[in-house]
Amino acid sequence: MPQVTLGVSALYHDAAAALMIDGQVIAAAQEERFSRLKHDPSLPVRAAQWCLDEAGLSAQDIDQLIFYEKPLRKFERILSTSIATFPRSALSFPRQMKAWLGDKLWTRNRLVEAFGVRPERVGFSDHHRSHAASAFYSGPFERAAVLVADGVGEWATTSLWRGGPAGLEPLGEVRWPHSLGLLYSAMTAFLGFAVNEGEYKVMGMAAWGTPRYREALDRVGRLLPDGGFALDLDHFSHHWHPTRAYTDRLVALLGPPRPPGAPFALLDPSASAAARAESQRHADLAASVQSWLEDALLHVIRHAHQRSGEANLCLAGGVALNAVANHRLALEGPFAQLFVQPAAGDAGGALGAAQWASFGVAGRPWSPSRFRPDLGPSLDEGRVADLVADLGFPCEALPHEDALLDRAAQDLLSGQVLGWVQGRAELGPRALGHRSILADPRGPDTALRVNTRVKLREPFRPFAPSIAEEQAALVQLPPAAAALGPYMTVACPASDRLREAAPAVVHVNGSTRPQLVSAADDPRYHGLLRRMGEATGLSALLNTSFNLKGEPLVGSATDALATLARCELDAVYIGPLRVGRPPARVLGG
Amino acid sequence: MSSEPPKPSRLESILMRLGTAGALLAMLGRGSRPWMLPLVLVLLVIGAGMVFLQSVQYVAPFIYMVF
Ligand SMILES: [Fe+2]
Repeated sequence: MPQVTLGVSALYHDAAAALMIDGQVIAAAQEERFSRLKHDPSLPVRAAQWCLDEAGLSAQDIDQLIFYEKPLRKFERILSTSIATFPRSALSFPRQMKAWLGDKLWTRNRLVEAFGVRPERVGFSDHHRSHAASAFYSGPFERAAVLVADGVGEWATTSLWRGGPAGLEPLGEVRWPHSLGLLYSAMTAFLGFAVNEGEYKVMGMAAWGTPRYREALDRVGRLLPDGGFALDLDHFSHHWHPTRAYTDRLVALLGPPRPPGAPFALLDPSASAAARAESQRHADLAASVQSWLEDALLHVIRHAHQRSGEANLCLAGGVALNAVANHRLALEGPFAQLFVQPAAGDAGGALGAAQWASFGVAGRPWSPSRFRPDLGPSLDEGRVADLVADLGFPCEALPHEDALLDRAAQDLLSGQVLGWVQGRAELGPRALGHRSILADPRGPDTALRVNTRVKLREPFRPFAPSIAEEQAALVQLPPAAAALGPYMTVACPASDRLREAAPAVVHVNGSTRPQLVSAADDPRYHGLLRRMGEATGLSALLNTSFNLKGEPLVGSATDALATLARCELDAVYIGPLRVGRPPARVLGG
Repeated sequence: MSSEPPKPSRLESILMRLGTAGALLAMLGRGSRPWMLPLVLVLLVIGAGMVFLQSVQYVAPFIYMVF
């Protein structure tokens, strides 16, 4: 009988389900792609149902359902922190207790009720173990050190593991409330961005500044000789305040926080000198926390290298999504090779929980392979054609691969901004040519076109390129980051050629966050890049996730069409169909 | 899973909750924080009350006055 394992992450943010059969990952998807609520934390009933449907199974076939963390251990942390920080925690305590006593504590009941599995088939992994498994068992190494860094799991905020034939062995951890992720998140809030969402914006803003607040941050986040770190808790309130992550002492140290939505004056020639100075201060704060995080991670991994004795390193946890830090780790760190789980956030925890149960617990033999994040729903092309016809969108069928790619390249070369919906959806936050928005990256106004028509992204954030593998010299990927090429998990210097030819995908500091695409991994997308190369000499495209501001990535063809109808995209390629902009009446005109 | 998943019986649900409460108390008793046991017992009683009250529709709105 095949062994069916369902991994589930939920109830914090980015709920997801992952299905494995006999140690093979069959399907994995985030609930937000079905519910259309960004970062949807609710139990991933729809995602799980899709996973089971994909495998032709039902809930009765699930041998084990593994939740990605231990709710009781988390409850223990929340309770003891509330007591330790009383009376300051008085505000958050009732709120926490309501959430826990009314709901989260009874996760086993909720899983059984929602997924229809027998109670004895429900198991619980640990939050960091799930992250660690998602990195190691998806990675290309027989054995490796594994570092997990995020906000917090049950107690651990940073943990070190050794992965090998014997499984995952814990080597050490830093515990709550001392957390790299939560310091970065506190500064994200300080800079007026939403926590769990705005961390990328801080990373993007950092390139505009100089880290002149480093000394101040070194005082509130100290690196310890044992390879750990400690926060000065007088400056932070994430452990007792219900909504605010920092205290007035941090404000006294760093100056006033940036109000949410404050304009970024460094890109506005008409801005006053005072406004420019204020934006520069914000950028300097962002640069300071980015620099602090990078140095802290380097400190941690140097000890991890000694402690583990391993040559290679796998990374997961939300902090591992910091592509700029990953570059420093590859360039200056002691490890020969890095691998970062592309779904490094909690959605990847569902995958890791299933992998831990399959390999770590069941002891199933495992061998390293090349990880493919396209584990989500595919397109039912026949149904798409019917749907497009029903909705009255102009549609062109291009069943021949060459014709399809020629037409798409022609659109892009004429300046069109396209949706590109092909194959199975990606797990994790990055669109890697399956649910992407594409544009010709050349020309000075590309970023503006994509931004004003579709993305409405902050002007200080760059776009990223997809590059055909044979033109990898367009970027300077450090040798230790070679395994990160396909996933957009590392930022690195752009070559002069890319900088001059495609400024839209190069950041103000000359860095870029590339996806290197091989013909073996993705022949259609590679074919499109190759055609761009034939026409322009640059086998590259601007690639950004196919979603509107505040919405999750598109999942189905229906989502793609709904998005097309609500933005200024020129066309969407869904499988072999080119779907043009709908006539006004479809838009309700 | 295209049909509704089978729901556990009421007795099964209660047994699962008792199992969770027992596991929590055992974990705290074993660990370094046995002083939390009385507090947790009180909270679990409140929690059980909340779960019960939530299932009684006309009382549910008043839970929000307490929590
Ligand atoms: Fe996490």
